[in-house]
Amino acid sequence: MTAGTSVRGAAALAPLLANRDRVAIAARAIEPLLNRVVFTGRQVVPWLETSPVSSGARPTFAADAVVRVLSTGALDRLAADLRRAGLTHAARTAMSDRWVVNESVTLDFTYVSGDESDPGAVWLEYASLLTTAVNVGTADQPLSARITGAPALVALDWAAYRASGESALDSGELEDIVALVATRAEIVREIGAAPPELRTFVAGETRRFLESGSAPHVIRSAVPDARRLPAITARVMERLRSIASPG
Amino acid sequence: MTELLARFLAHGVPHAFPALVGQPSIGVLTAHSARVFAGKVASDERFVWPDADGTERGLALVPLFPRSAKTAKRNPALYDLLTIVDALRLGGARERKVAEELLRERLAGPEA
Repeated sequence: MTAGTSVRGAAALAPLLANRDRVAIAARAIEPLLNRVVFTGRQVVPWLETSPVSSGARPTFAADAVVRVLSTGALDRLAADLRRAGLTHAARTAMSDRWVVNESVTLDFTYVSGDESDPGAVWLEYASLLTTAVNVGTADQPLSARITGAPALVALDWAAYRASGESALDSGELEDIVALVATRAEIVREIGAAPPELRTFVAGETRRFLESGSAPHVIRSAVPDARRLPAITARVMERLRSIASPG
Repeated sequence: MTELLARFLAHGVPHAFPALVGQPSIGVLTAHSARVFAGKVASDERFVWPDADGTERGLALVPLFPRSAKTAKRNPALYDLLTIVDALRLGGARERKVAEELLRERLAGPEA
């Protein structure tokens, strides 16, 4: 059977790349600008997973084709460099610019204003400040880029989940949070060491989630190994309780 | 009636008939590994209905009814629907969203 032959509109489909490959292609395309931007969102999670506990071979989705990039510099100043790098400008909204690398990889550059009067911007600001440098290239051709660190990514996901209005059982962001907690043992310590504002927000949201009673169901959905190994659910629950009650 | 069926398949079946995943096997692709999800979801992990005549390899997923694997050749439209329902049984929130969209599209009938 040929993949895609029966799918409506399949003829127009671009190849679906794994998230790790997408970020690598995006980073290579904007290499001269890498010291001015931060990669964030679901696509950077593979670099944050440190434990062998499987969250499954994480699927990639057509919606993941857009790689999210944060910039504290004005987007207009980036534009000339992006054109010089060969990217094509596709669209502009109030706070972000969309640039196309190729048919499989698109970048959304979001301007992080640091405007404290905008409550929605505060988690984006943390996402652009609390970062970690990773090798998004290969062993042969390393390429260092900054990605949002785990605590700020969790805060960003909690904010997105709240804004979505979705139920806990239907939220991709909530599954991302749980998967990251399951696959990164040090996340409890990292959130404990995060700025008080972020730590308090994440603790409060995590507490509400635990009180809702849906956590075990979301864990089993987000971490396939937890369906077979109840000890994994217990371990993730313990980490969530620790995050919800920072010492 | 179609709406009720879609709701039951999307929100009832995953709880009434949760996915049971077993050992690697040859078989026929199902869930988000199946052709209907091409270009929408991709994963290194593949799922199959075990079948001696199958041409693919993946983790065995117990089908909703024993002869599901034969529908791939005999009734492609039914095959697509069964693979979509398996994605609803097996997948996380994002897979389920994609699957529900495909399900509703299929249940609505052919495009004008």
